[in-house]
Amino acid sequence: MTAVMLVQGGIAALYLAAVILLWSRQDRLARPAIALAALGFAIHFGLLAWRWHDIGQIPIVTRYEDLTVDSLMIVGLYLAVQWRLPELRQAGLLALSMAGLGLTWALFHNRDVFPMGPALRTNWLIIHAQLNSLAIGAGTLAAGVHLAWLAGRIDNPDTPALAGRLAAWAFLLWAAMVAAGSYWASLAWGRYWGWDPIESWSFATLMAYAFVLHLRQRPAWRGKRWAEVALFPYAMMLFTTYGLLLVRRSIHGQYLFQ
Amino acid sequence: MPWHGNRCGFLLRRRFFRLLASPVLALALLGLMLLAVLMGGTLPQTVRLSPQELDAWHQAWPLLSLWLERLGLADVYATTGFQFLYVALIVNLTAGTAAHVAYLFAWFRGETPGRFLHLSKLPPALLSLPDAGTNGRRRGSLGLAGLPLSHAGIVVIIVAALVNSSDRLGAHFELAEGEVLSQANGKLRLERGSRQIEGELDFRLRLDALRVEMEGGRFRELQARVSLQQAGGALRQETLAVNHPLRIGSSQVYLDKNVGQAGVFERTLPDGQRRRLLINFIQPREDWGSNWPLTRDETMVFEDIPVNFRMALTPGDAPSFRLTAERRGKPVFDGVLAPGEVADLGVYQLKFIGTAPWAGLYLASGQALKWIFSGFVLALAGFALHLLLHPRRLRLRREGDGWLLEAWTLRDDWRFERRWREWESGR
Repeated sequence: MTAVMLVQGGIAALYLAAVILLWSRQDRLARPAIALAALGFAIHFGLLAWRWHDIGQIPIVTRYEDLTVDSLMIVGLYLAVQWRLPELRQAGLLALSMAGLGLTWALFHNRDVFPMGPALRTNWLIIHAQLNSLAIGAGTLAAGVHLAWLAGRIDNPDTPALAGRLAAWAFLLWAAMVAAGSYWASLAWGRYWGWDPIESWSFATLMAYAFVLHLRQRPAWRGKRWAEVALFPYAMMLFTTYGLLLVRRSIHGQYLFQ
Repeated sequence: MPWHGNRCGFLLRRRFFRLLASPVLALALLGLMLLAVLMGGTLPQTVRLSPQELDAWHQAWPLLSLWLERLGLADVYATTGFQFLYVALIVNLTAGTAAHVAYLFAWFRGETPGRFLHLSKLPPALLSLPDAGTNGRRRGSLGLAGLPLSHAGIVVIIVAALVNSSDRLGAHFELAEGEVLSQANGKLRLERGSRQIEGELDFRLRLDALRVEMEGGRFRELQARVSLQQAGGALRQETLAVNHPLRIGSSQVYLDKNVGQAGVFERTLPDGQRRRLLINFIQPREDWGSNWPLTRDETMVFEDIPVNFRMALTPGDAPSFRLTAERRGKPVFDGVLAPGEVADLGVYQLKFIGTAPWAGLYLASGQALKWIFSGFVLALAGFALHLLLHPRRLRLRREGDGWLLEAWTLRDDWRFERRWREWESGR
């Protein structure tokens, strides 16, 4: 077992320990839970910084790196949001679980360095990939609020508005990711859109978020019914990012996620 | 009764406009679009499959593939239904944007639209008191412009995408080192849906040098030095690289990321004319730099008689070209040529000169492309405005002997509502 596996497994364990403390719903355990998550985040950040330094290129190309960065974004966004809005702490049950699972799943992928070809040596890759990670972070946080709300773990008059806002941020970041990818494709391949399976599913995820955001404007759909429906775009987001390449060939698989 | 008729017409028009701008219609269209795109992204789309993959798909699922084609699900994005969804979305978005703009004007006129949350008896300490007046104090008004801008941006994207798809040029071609592109005929392979281009091009493009570096079958570097001359312009040297297309007027040339080796020949015709001939061979990326023979079989027709060529090109420092040519089943030539050697094929002579690397290139043009990206920027900026700015209004008005403080805010302005609740509970 290598040092990286030990450190990464340790970070996942910290996140999962924080989940267990949050699960208890005891106020006195909330602070230690956040402290554990923050400690994990600091080591997680250090691990990625070390990899960046070690491989000499930004670590966003392989599936291992993608999962590790996405997990970091989820935890980073969760810590920032719960700091401003402590009543949303229970959203960490999903956010920290997903981050822990992501880090663990990353360990099952190849950790070798994937040399960046000419098509990947552009700032648009960094923008595109970071927006993707941010969107997944915002989407996970929104889904965490929806689930905690549905489970009765968050009960605040502002919860419906906050849940809607977070879903709207996930939509905006996902749309920006799609736009950045489209512009990059126009520079690299001379086509801004090709209805490739990943492009199609990204667009479908965008449509699904637009659908639930419009649905929220209907008076009958502003409560928990809406929160149930709003979990579908998040599931699509996860499938588009992590699942689709397992079952379909795509141009993304030729260049990334080896 | 004319008045009655006008009134009736007005009501009908208003009802029709409301239907077009309706959020329920938006939901229905978004739902249909979502379903269509999910099918397009999940079911095999015949235009995306190679001929071999298409055959395998037809053989493995004969009944399913037949029904998918009958239902238009084998090429979802080209169906009339999908195009109709585009148009319906444009109409709905435009009408919705107009309705949003009406809200915006009402807000600036001092009115408050119905969808705003009205909080009366607001604490004076909540926000610094505005001057008493008709319009009161406004904050974050630009946030109201967010959704109309965002929707207008999406309209721009869809319209520009439709214009682009009808006006688009997309053509692949190959150029070997030293070769010039000046004619469209026979050189450009147009993509499906591309507009036609024939005859002389309005530019001449010559590939001067190709730089290819491979590592483990992947490109580490791919660049081309080219000479470009536009109609009436001076010759200029440019570097063409991945992610850095070459702009030629309203068109762009891209590296297509496929490379190979070309056999370079001089062909002498029966009338004595000499012409340069290039025969391109695909070289697998993992074999780049090796001197293994590259093979290609071709059948060409000369004087209505097909001639079968079996060719093997060996690149490297000592290149060679092996050729077997058969005409009506009889061998015309069978031998190996070194640089400078000539094969007599009966209908003409072929002199082998050497080898040169070739690069695949892609010529594209679309006038509406910049509008598509402007639409993206507008849509994203508009939605960011909507999320970041919170339109609020406070107004002080006389009621009887006292003053009434009115406040308006959007329903999702949870910060405002929270402060109000905190004040109420503390009072």
